[in-house]
Amino acid sequence: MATLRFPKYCLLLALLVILFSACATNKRLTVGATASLLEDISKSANRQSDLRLIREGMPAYLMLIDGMVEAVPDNERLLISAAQGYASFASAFIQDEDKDYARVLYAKAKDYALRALQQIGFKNPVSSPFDEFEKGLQQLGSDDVPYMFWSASCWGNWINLNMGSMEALAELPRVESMMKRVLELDEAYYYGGPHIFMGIWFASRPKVAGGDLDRARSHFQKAIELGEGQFLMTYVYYANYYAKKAFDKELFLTTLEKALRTPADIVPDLTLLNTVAHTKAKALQEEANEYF
Amino acid sequence: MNIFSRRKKINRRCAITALGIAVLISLIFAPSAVGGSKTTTIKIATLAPEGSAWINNLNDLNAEVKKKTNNSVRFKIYPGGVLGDEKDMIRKMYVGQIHAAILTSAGLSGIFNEMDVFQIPFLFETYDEVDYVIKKMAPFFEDGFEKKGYRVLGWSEGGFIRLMSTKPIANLSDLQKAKVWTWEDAPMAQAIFDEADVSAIPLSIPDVLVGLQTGLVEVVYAPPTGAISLQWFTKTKYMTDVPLMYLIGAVVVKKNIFKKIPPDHQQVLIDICTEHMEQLKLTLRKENQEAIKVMTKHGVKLIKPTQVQIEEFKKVSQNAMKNQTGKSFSKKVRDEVMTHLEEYRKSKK
Repeated sequence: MATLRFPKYCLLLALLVILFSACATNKRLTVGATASLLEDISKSANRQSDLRLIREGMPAYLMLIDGMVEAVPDNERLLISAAQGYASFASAFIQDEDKDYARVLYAKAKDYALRALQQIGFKNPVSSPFDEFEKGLQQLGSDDVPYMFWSASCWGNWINLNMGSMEALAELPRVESMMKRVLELDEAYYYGGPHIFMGIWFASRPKVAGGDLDRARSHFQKAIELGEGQFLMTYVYYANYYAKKAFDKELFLTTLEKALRTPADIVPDLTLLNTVAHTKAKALQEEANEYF
Repeated sequence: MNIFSRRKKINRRCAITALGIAVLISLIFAPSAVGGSKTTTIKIATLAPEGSAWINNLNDLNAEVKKKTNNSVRFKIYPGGVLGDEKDMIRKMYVGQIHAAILTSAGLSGIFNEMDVFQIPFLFETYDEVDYVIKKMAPFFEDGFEKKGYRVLGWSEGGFIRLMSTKPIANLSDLQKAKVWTWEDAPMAQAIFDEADVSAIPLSIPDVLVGLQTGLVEVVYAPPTGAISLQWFTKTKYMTDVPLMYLIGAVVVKKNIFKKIPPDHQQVLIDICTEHMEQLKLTLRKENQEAIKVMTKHGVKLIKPTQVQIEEFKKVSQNAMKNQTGKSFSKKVRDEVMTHLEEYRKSKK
């Protein structure tokens, strides 16, 4: 197993130790530990409610991850953490303000995610013929769910901001198939994440291209049930994608209200994302009269 | 205006009542909806999804219209078919719920049936031919829409439609042996297939993907960009690389709304729309080219029929068209189109 060689990465490690000494001191920085360290950092970040701290700290964290991937390029856990890091930063803080920059961040997230997929043995996710891609998905199992789920999320977000590109659009069916496979293997993964994705999918596709509001609604409701109403982003997506499309102002407002009434730290590990959800819910509330 | 918030409750059974209510509401609110005094908001619907070249173009167009009319004219855009398909859009324009729409051939023929002439298979071979004929015929078609209560703000297109299939289609007999899809909203296509002795299976667009998957249909047709966004290319291994039909598009606005805009702003609006639609057309042509390349990258094989095989297709389609003429488009319009086309082809020789 490859280890981080100290002289070459001393600066990085010093940064690491200073910033995250509590997590790092007792760990030998082997590959596995490296990835697990990042998971610890993201876990502690997930308990933060101070959005400013996270927003300002995240670029440093992402640079750190880049460096680690550089040192250990073939670790799938590290790669998927990197993908998640870039995609979360883009979706929580950048996407609403600066689409061009978000596109750059998602491209990086997608790149890391696809590398992670290759690492777990899923070959040529972008360039294989479509039926081979689908066969490949059938060979992945429950253990691969996190890789599939986060890859499909990063990939889908990237496509979403590149809808003007035929190249990107042509990759969309792969994302859909991958998420459908996740749905088969573990529908409850990440607070019903596969259902949230399918909810957004059916709500945002035009009707001629398979959009279906009834199916969107039932996926969202299932996601809320599986997340026990504690993962507040589900409400935000439900309002923003389903209620808007259905022109249902009352549902839009009550759903956002539910998100805002639920304390962000109802599950400590969700504090960060729920705080982001509160911010987004407030912004959507203000849009209501303009849209409806 | 809260007309749209009621939309989800409208089902087929109460659609007629709803229509009545909509008419009533639009009568009551018409002046305020259009903003009689200062700002004219043109509500425009389209099937094109958010993020597509169409919507990006429409957003730019809107920004420029707002700027050049000092904010007195603006569009409110309803993308992605949120207000229904083209038939629904026409109905909603009729009752005044929306004021404008981007329509393609089926929708346009729904307003002015002479537009069906564009659905003649193998009519055009190149975009230059298309541009020449449309330039010549535009005044006639625009006048036709005018008489039906619409103003054409600009012409655009979906591009050339091509056959896509689960088995190779190079000649007529390949096509006659296959199960061929036909769009249930475009009855003329069905008639042409009947004449050509091709067994066509009518399906709505959303059902096509499943149809391909289950083998219910083996041959479909779409512009390359459409085949990607509808995902049909994931099920069709082959594309017949001959322009089958030209899919025209246009932005139309209800005349009564258009007339409420002061004349100087009307001209501004037309100028901006014409310019943007021209740009959009070029973008779409590039995208369609790109789409073919991307599909081949994803494993779709291009089938290139020989000139003889193409002529065979054309002959059958010409016979079929003879029987169609007069049913939707008139002989006069078809002859005019053909005259312009021959004129252009001669000039190129």
